[in-house]
Amino acid sequence: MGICIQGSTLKEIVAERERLFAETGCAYGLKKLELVEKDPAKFMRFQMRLVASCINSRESAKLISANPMSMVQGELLFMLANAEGDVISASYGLAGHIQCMPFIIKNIAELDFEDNPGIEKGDIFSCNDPMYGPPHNADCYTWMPVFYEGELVSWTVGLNHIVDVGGIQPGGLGVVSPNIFTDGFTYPPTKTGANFKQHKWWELHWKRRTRTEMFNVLDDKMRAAGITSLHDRILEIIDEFGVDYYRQGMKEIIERERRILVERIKSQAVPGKYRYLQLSAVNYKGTLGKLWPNSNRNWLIHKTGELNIRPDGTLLTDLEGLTSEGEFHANAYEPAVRMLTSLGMWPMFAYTETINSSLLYMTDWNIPPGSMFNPQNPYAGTVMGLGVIAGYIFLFHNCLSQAFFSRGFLEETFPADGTAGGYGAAGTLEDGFQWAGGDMSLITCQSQAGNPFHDGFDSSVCSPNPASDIGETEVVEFLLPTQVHLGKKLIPDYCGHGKFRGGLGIGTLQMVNKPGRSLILNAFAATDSMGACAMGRNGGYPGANDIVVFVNDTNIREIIEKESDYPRDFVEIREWMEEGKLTAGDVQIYKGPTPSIPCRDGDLFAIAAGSKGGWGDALERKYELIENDIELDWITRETSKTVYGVIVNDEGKVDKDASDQLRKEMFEKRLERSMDAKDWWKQERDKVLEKGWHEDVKNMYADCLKYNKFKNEFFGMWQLPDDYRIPGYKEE
Amino acid sequence: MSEKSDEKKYIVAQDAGGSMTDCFLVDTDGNFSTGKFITHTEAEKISYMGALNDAAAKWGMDSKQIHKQALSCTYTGTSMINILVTQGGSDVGLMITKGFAHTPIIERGLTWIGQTYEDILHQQLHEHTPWLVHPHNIKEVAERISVGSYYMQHHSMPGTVIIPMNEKDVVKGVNELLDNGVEIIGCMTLGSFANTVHENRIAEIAKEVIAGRGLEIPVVTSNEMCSVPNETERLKTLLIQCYIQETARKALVTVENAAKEEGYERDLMTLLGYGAAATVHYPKLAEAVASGPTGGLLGGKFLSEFLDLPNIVCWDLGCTTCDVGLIAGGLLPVNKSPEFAGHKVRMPMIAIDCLGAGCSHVVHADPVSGRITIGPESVRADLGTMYKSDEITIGDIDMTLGYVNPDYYLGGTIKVNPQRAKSELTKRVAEPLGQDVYDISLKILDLLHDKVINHINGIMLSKGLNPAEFTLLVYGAAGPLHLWGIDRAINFKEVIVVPWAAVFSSFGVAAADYFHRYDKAVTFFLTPDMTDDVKMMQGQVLSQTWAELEERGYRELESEGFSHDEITFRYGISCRYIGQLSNWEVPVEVGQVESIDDLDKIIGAFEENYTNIYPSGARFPESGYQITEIYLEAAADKPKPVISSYPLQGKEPAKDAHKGQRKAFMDGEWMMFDVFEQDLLEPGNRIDGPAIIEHTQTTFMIPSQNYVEMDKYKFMRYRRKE
Repeated sequence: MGICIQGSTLKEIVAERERLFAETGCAYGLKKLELVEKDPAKFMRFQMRLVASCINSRESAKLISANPMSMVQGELLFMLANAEGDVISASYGLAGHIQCMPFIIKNIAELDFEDNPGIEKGDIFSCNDPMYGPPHNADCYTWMPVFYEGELVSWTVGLNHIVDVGGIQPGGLGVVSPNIFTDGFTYPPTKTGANFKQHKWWELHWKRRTRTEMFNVLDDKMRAAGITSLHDRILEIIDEFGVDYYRQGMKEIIERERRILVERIKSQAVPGKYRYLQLSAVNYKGTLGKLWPNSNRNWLIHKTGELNIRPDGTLLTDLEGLTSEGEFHANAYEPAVRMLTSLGMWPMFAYTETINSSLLYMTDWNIPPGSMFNPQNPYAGTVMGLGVIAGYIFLFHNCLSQAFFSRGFLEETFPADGTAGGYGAAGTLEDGFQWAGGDMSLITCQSQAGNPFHDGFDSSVCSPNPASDIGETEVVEFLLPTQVHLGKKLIPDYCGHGKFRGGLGIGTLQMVNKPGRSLILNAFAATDSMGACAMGRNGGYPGANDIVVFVNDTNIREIIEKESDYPRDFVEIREWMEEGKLTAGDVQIYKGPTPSIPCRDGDLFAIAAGSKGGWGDALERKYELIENDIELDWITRETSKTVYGVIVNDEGKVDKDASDQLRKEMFEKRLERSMDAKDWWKQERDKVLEKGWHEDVKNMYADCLKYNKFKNEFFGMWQLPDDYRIPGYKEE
Repeated sequence: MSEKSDEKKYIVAQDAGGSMTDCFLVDTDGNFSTGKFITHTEAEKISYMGALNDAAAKWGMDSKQIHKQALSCTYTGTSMINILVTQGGSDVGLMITKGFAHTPIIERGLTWIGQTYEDILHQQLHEHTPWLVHPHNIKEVAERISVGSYYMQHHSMPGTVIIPMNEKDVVKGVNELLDNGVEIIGCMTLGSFANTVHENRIAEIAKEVIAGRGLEIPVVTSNEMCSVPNETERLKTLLIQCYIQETARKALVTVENAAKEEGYERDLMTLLGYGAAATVHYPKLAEAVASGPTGGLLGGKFLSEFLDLPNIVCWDLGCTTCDVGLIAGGLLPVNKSPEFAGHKVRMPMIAIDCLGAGCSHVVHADPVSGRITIGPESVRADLGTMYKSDEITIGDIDMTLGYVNPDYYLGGTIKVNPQRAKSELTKRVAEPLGQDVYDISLKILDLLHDKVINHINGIMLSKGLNPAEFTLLVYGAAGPLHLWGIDRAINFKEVIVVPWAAVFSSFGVAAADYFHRYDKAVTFFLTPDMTDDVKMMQGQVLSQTWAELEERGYRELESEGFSHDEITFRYGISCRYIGQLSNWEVPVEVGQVESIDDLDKIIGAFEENYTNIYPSGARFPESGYQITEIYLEAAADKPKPVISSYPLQGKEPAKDAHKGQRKAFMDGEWMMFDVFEQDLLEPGNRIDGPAIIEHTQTTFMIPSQNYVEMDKYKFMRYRRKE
């Protein structure tokens, strides 16, 4: 006798959910939405009541937390799922997590939790183990069954991103971890409480297995309090609407929203295959030494993807060709992939007031076993697989932009790339006081790429969080006392150029002020020296790399004392140094993660990010737009001439005749530079046959050739002999 | 009503909304009259006079007679928001710290302020607000001042000069701005909340340069506007002040002149966002920019004191807005970083939660998905298909269901077409969804009511408050019309409908105190292990800062014509437990710390306020206390309305108050409702539902399960039958 409707088991209803969808293509086999059709207004009221309950639970529970990521940055979500595990409604917050919950419920069903440890009224369950649904162990899920008249009708769920997971690196976003044992505190689904309270032993785990015990214990209390209050509110709603309406209504919500999403794709996109590729690096060589020999290497990650927009409005994303699983931190499981990539779907077609797991019913994935997002080694490290998955967010921005553009929905295009820069600081002040901190300003706000009818707006969007916010310099300096900002500004020319150019990237320049005994800065830059994908830009340039510059042993203190003046960004540093005004003992430039750099008083540190791509051929940009760019100093005269073919006179006006002539010459030069595709192909084929690539590139290709699809296309493209092979890592 | 001589006895208060200007006219005996007039955004004196004449006419008087005998006239208008919306402000010049010229353009990336969740997710459509200062007119000055550090004495103290100011930059920049023809100059440096030296010096040099060129151009500093951290918010406040101050003042002075021409002898007053009245000559006029919805809460505060009800939920439902504000423990909550019209600023504003719902909100029905949504757009004064709009609105539904009397719309001054409303509803909503027009209409109202209920519940629950301890105060033109739908779902302690519901906000304007408020950031930590000496040292800093603010209060209020003795002060702090992320504002009794006892009282005030709002489990006293800011309110007396008490009559209303009967559709059936004229009801009367109380400006629906009793002040107490 099961705990679900009419004595069925959890396993049975989850299987039934899958069977009905497989057989009918509709969620729960609902060809007809009876409640919606009979009384749409009542139905809408029902749905809004569920959403409001989730929001209210979040707003009251979050006060308990002291974790800034929950309180301010929105990494906190409360959800209502039906008995089968579909999320029906959710609070504000990091909405992507909606995608994970159905996997968690399916897993506990298959683990026979119903039988042992049992699922009863007031029980509390917890999990952060990515193998069972959560995206990575920093995202902790807590959930509770809702029983009505003895039958399971729902789950209330709370999750948030905790401050520290107890891994080999502090924090929750480690970038070195060869396996699950170094990931930190990872717990599979566990019954951690009963009678609406967490067990006392559970608190001890937080205290002994993580570094920030206080934050983590309070977060756990917050999640438990939120799901309990949501539990009570849901019972009130069931009383009001009746349990039959409640059960049926939840299913109809999913099916109705599935239809809305499918309709958006059908009405806006041209169906077909859209290809996408990004690369990124994982560099472990020399980091872990002999202890983990299989991790003492570098990887070039091949992030390929193919978005299939089917004529029926559903999507299939095929990841065949993705780098294999490895003994690194960046593996992940399907729920994590679905969770994070949904951030690319919300703005493109899934924006609605009432988000739920209907996306699962119109998006399919092919993630080959053995690839890094479908690891077969049960001990694969997953602490920061999200870092690599993040690139796939933009598969949806870019491929769908192309698909919408092709159909004429220009305003819906939203090409984007993962550009972001951040840094951490740690030091010991003059009096021996130790401190540490970090700054995410250039992660949480970026400029928009150019689109088919206007330039990208500056500092207007943010990929990971729809509510962009660059924060306040005065707050950053308060928390990082050694960092004095000499500038926080848009950088001229720092964009992808085009008929409509991308928004300008934003950069800060800081002077190190009284670091005391020691100060170490380490930064990362999301573009990782790899260049942007540049899909869907129709001839526009991709955005420029994120950039980090350290200038040590400078004479800036003397300049300040004598002239009361300073440079404002990394471009001006270069100019000042060329002029001989600024001198430096050492200059280091990075376009990706930096090592930890020791800094002294008067050192300069510049970081810039968020330069976005352009749309259309730069040589077609209107002269008025160039004049405006020159007037506002967004584009320099030099760039106007060399990139746009436009001559601007001293009054800031375009010399039309000279520019027409210059553009003509530039077009002709392009023709001169171009070569016959056949010749180009031959030239490139020789390189493939020679295999003279960098070691990391060679290893990457060798790995990808394991996949038949990639192999067929690669062999087909380059007409390779059957015995062609690339030796893999350590095979030579 | 008779009057003679020029004895001052009238208080005039007006609240100009986007569609209607409301007037509340009250005399020193507590008699009141109300008036309404269509808002003329381009010439506000027309609507000011129109609304006043409408109210005066009910006493057989005109605006001239009122003005001659007016004690005070307060006008809060739409002109400032309009300047922002229509981009009709001044040409602003800005002097700012070198390296930060783009701060007004980057705008902190807040391109989504005020949007729905759906629109926030739909990022590609996010845009910045139009520039308040052209990049041409932004000039940089090399300088840097330390903002201080979280680690206090371990690093730089707040206000330390790190890079001395380059005065040449200032002279050059100001001259360039003047060459560009700017009309006003704002000055802003990083860290100026901690040390004003650079910012004030820029202003000083600018004034010299301006004078040297024989010009008269105002110069404003950010520290005058708000001396608190967060450069983007401080800058936005400065820029709004610069952008609107001159234009807005001109518009208000035009209204003032119109009043003075009719014999009004004092300064015209306006309302500031934090609920204070100030003359239209007040320097920081930007503080008035978003004072629109505060009137109602001030009225609520007045009634909270008058009726001795410390806990009130103020609910205003109008044509285009649904505002909810809380008065808890007799305090008006203040939001220090409010958002409006896409801007986030740093000036105190009474906290009000606005919801896009009202009678002019458009109803959408999608026959494909069966989704029904309300808003977010509103047709405002066009009302709906029953009047000038082609969009179906909540107002059309109210009309179709028989709630609103088509022949008595605004007292019959507006001709509406109920047939069109019904046929459009049938054609575009009911038939496509396969529903009966009345059933579906009623259910759409349920949706609206639920939206409001969820909103109120959300606000209260997120603060840990229990509705059963609160009185619901209902106002706005549509509040009494839709109260029944709200009251059924939330159990309030009591429900009060004010007799002048449609113009309650302008009543609140009349009830506003005259005061100015000053905020100042401070560094103050109190940990359990601190010695008394260290505590007192910090206490002295508080005293000193309050004393500086007092000096400024005297200076400004004296320049507005009040004598030294007339000025009184109120003090307050923003405090939190160390480690917390939010802070809470609370008034304190004294603005001087002379003993540990005084400090304990200050902290005690915070603790008391905190436990009023949150369950005691949310306290963390063991971590210590941090005061982040202090404030001072410098106040002077101002005439306020009086609410009269009347002898109670019998329960039975007078015969002529009963206007007849009409049918309305409620609870799934057509029912006969008794109809009463509100102005003819007497204190003590009881009206049992189903009934409708009509007034020229409002309609009050009373279902069969409820009744209304008019109390001795003519407030209508809405109750459930036993």
